[in-house]
Amino acid sequence: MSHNPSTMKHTYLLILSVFLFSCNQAQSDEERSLNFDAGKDYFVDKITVDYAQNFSVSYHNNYKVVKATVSYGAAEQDSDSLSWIDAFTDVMVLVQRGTPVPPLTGELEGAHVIEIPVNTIAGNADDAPTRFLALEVDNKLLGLGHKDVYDPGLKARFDQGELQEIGASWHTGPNFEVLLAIAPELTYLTAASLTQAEGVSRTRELGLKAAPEFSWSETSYLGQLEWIKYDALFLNEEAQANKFFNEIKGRTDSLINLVKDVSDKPSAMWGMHSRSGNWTVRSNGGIAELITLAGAVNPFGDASAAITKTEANGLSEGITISDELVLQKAEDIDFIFSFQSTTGNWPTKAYMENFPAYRNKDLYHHFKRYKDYGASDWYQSAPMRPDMLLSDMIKLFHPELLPDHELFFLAPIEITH
Amino acid sequence: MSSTIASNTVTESTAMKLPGHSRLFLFPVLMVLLVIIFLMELGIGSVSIPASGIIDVLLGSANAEAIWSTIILELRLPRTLAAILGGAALGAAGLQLQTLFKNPLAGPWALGLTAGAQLGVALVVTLAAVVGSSFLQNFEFIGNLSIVLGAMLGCLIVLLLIVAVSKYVSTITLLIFGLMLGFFAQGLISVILHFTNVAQTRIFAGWNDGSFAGVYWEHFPVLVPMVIIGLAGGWLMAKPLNAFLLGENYARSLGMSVKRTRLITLGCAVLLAGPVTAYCGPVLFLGLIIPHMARGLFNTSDHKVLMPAVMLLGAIVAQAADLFVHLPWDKHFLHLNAVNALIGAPVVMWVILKNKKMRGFEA
Repeated sequence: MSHNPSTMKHTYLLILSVFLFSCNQAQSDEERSLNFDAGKDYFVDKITVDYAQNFSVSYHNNYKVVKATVSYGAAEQDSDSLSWIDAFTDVMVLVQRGTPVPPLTGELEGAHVIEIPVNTIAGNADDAPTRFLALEVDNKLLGLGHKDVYDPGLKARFDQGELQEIGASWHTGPNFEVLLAIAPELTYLTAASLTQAEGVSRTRELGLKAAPEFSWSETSYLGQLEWIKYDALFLNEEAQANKFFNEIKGRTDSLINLVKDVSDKPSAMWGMHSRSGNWTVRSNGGIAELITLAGAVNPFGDASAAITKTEANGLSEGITISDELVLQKAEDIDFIFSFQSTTGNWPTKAYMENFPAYRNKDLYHHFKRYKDYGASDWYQSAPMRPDMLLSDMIKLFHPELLPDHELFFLAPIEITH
Repeated sequence: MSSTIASNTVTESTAMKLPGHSRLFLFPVLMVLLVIIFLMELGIGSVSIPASGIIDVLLGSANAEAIWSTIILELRLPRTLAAILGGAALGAAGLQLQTLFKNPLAGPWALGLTAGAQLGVALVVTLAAVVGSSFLQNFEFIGNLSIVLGAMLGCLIVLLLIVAVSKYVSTITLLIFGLMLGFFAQGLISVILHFTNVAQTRIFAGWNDGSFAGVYWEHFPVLVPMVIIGLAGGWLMAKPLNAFLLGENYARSLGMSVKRTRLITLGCAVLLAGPVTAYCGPVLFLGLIIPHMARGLFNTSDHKVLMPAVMLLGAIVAQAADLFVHLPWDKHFLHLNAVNALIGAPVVMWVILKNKKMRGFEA
């Protein structure tokens, strides 16, 4: 039996490498143990999850346990989401750098371990850019879902090649090649369908760290807003998250106080029309809640209504109601809000004239902040800026209360009948 | 090479059974059925309206509640009439195509015509996006005649390709070719829509579901004349199509211009399938199954009987499917094509199993 000298050489090198790696690893673990103070609280700044239903965190001295799940029986109309609900609850252990990983037993068995704070990130949720900007971690950003981002600073970084498109779509997962190329320490992946859920697990199989994100699934505007705290957990930016959250919540609380005594409440519907003979209206969720808080009545409000995510929007779109049922309430609808900027896809004029909103031209879409290259600030900012949407609605419902406010997200729908 | 497809399957399965007239009594029966389902379409929906209310609305009585008038006259009636027109048109187009291509599985969908129309609409949508966002925002999706023209042009191009290829290939190969054309068009649509914006993609997706509910009164001035011309043309071509069943040589021996018959028939098929697809989206299966149902029911392949039969049956089946979709389901919305598939797929399977050549996969 002869030995090829070259092969032997390679074998020795491989063995040596493994030995050195093991020593290094052993040293590293030892170093961690030496420097680790089991009695020290490594996370001075903490968050509490008060409104979001679909993530939770528990703090331990040197690690956090984060659970992300869609926990309510929503999305009845969306088989994808229903399957996703049944299929997936994620447990992540976020371990402070330089400290040992806790034993992954019991409820932590099989958990995804992430060393924090992460130094580089990517995210493909529609509203991720606003959260990253608000947390002031955009300097850590390597990639976003797509380059049509509204924020001019991020857009410029895309144009200069500093940011990469990691892919964002309702039915597809991320672009794994790009993810592998930029290799962020953590990728926040929007998750609303089985395909996207598989995207999370596939990203992890490829050796990258990933956290599922579904702020869209929250039933309250504060729940949605609270997802900034979720993002912060991986960055140890709890203090900044609390600051942003409290500031926005403070503004919305002030606005709510402003209208709390109004007695004359108009009726407002938030919906989009489909050619299949129905409207999809916001019955539940943050937007529906804000309509009420702005001093109006939502005739389709229903706390038990399902919430779905659609490809057009990072927010929950609500439930589908037939043209006929909507017409029954038409005379009570003083305002219509929609993502449709013209009435071109709406029912006939004869139908629409049953709505005071149509007769009085009180129809508004939310694409006021739109860039010609296809970016809409609505998708990026609305979940994180309920104060601005609330101001817009109060301006329309009760103009005397905010005389100087200029509409931020909303603009008139063009009647094309 | 056309002789390779001359021996085929439409003639085989129904063997040129001429009238017999024994089943012509079915016409009044079907007419009554059509009226019954029509009334059910007007009477049943998400909002419960008593029969007296429906009668008041239809008679224009002053007692009719305004909201019921709007529901019946603005929503249910145009939708029902669109189902009648769409079903009749697709059934007639299917019959014409099956006879012309001597292929029992020919139809606007199987031959790729529907996909061609979809491609035409996708191109119009994208063109609108290219022209400019201001135009895009003003895009009156269905009211715009360009959609109809786009759909018809897409239909026509696919049909011409099918005609060109049909001279050189067998029945089965032609079907596969049509299906491949359909897949190609779908692929192209997907690529094209990738480059347009999300809102337009969503509008296209809504249209692409297929529904009679998106047809309103303002669409009828375009839809009705085209469908009526197509149906009338189909009726007038009944005799030449009968001759086609016995082969092109036989047709020529009768002094018939085969080329002209082909062109007129194809023109009628485009006039029928194009506008219906433009306004209702791709409505699947009807064009394929209605002719078979008519042949089975009337036991004939005489187009003088079959043409009115497919119109009536098409209208009935389309109305019934639409009625099922719009039953007052609690919060759930069915898709028209899902219902059509439930009706259509078993019929297609029956046709395949009944047909010796297709069962044996022979050309």
